[in-house]
Amino acid sequence: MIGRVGRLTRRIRGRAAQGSRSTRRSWGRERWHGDGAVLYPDRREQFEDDLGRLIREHVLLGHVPSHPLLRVDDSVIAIGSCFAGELRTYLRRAGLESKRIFVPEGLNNTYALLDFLSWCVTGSTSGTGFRYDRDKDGRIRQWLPTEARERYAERLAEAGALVCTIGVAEVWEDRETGGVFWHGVPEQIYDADRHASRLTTVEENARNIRRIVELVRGVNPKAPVVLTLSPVPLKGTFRGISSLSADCVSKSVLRVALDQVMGDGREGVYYWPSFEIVKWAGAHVSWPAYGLDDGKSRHVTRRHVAEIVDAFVETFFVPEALATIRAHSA
Amino acid sequence: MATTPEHGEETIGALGIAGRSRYEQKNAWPRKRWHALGATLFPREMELFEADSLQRLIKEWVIPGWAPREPLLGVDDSVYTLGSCFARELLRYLTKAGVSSKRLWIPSGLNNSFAILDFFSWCATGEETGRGFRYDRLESGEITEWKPEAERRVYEEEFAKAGAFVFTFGLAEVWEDKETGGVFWRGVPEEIFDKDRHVFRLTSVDENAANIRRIVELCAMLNPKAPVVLTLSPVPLMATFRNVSCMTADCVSKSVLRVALDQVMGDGREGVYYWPSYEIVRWAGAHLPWPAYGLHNRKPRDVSQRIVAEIIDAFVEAYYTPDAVAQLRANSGRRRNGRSRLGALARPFRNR
Repeated sequence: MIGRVGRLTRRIRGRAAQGSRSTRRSWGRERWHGDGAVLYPDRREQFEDDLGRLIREHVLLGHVPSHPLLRVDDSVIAIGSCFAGELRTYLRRAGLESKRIFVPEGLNNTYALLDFLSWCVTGSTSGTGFRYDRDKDGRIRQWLPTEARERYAERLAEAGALVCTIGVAEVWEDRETGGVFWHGVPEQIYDADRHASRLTTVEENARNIRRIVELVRGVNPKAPVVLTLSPVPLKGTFRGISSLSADCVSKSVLRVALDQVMGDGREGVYYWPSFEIVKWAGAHVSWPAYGLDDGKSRHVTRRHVAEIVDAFVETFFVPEALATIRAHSA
Repeated sequence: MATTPEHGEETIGALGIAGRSRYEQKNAWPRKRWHALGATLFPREMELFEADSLQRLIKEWVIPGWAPREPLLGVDDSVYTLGSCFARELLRYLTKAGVSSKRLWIPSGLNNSFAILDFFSWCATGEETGRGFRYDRLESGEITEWKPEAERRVYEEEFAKAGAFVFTFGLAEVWEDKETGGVFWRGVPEEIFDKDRHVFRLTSVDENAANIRRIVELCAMLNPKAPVVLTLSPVPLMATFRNVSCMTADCVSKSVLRVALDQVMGDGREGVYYWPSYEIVRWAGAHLPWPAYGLHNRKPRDVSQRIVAEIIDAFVEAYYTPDAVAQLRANSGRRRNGRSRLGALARPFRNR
């Protein structure tokens, strides 16, 4: 983590260490040991004046590669929930998704993601996934691949990057087999004695994420793997508590799991903080980070989405590719 | 605490209709095709997040599942608040209303669960945990080792008579002495800092859950009848030493504590409650058309007074008997209908 981030770190650290505006309430300066501290933004204007700058200076620090890794002809495979979909749409519009494969939508939990990727790479499922999906007409059906498994494996092997977005820690499980449903339980097969909704643990999710990284590495040792957490809230919970609290716990479980995986220090594995850009920065700005465009409380405001995707492209694509992408997407 | 739809139904039913009725009445999710009976839904309408709806949002969409079935406190019950921001705000409110526990000074800003446990353990048993370094900062800004101003027995006696305990946890990042395993209450005083000995680290979910469970046990030992209310502070870290941005470090730090609190609540201990002030600020806050932080003073680490007022008011309404609520509101200058005078600060977004 050097280069651009290194310079930023030094700037931030320098500011902290100088203690230029020290008061008796200043923390980490003069009296508490504060060398090397990275500070929280200290002016509300930093959140409001320029969201893109806030993201680059106060959110991305420590999470970006030392130099851009992707060229314009590198294909990016994005799977999982919302951010994956947004990125796919953006890249498609910029003409970059030349080699498309159909990735099932809304693989929100780590069991579903692992199950799908395990099948893509090895031909066998993880053994813990129930692949019920909903088609465009709203019908529930067992998911069947639209392309040969080998094609998925090929695309993964030649991908320039894999972006994996995780959404929820609450799952429906079959008590008898231990299998986890990709989404919910189809009403027609629901059995109260057999199907239970539960909150998965930090350890389970960290294990699943590590296995996902290993699977991808197995077929494509070089492509960066970017892990993200979706800021889209739960649609509902079965935990008997308010959905805001349940969503908070569900995201917290996944955020800790992602932090543990990042703590392994695996080369080429990155965390992309879209969650913090929406939920953390979003609580500081004077407009709603959700639903501003369409009044829907579970839809991230387009302005945030645009800034997240733009910062992502700027971080991961080389300057020439970036110019091409921005020109196309404009 | 309620973790099953059956139990949840009763809890939710007592406080509002979040979830079930909406599902039955009009919500299409999951289009009657996924099994969804008993689901509590996320609020769909953005109108709920407008300034005038904040109180309703809190009471109908955040609190369900967390409040006691019936109010537990009377106006004479003394409430002891320990920990970070919410503790301070509640103390300020109760003091203004003339009902705070006035006889005891409790160190402020005990943000990590090690520090809170260390202090409370000393109060309850006379034993420190052996894991706390009690450096404090005086009003003058000077760092000094904390020496209790009152006899330990006074703390023990007062806590034994308490009407309720409120513990607010703030952060999961701590400074630790590698040689002893001791954790500093706050930072490391510059004059004793030794880089070979003092390390900064993120504590784990399990460590924090163990500390919180021990705090709850000590409360039960001292005062078996007083409800224990656990909260998580929405105030962000001032800084991190983790070599990532402070915003992402704060997110992880809070996430660790939120999971730990969820685990403790999962034990289902009687008389132990979680109060979701964190969700009201950080989760609902991102939906609001005005900043959940710094609206009144432009400081991004200060929760906007409007939200603080609503959180405290909802807390008082959930925990105090109706007579006490009326008295507290009258004394604290809040209107009879519970509406804050600060409401005008947050204009509805659509009017801009």
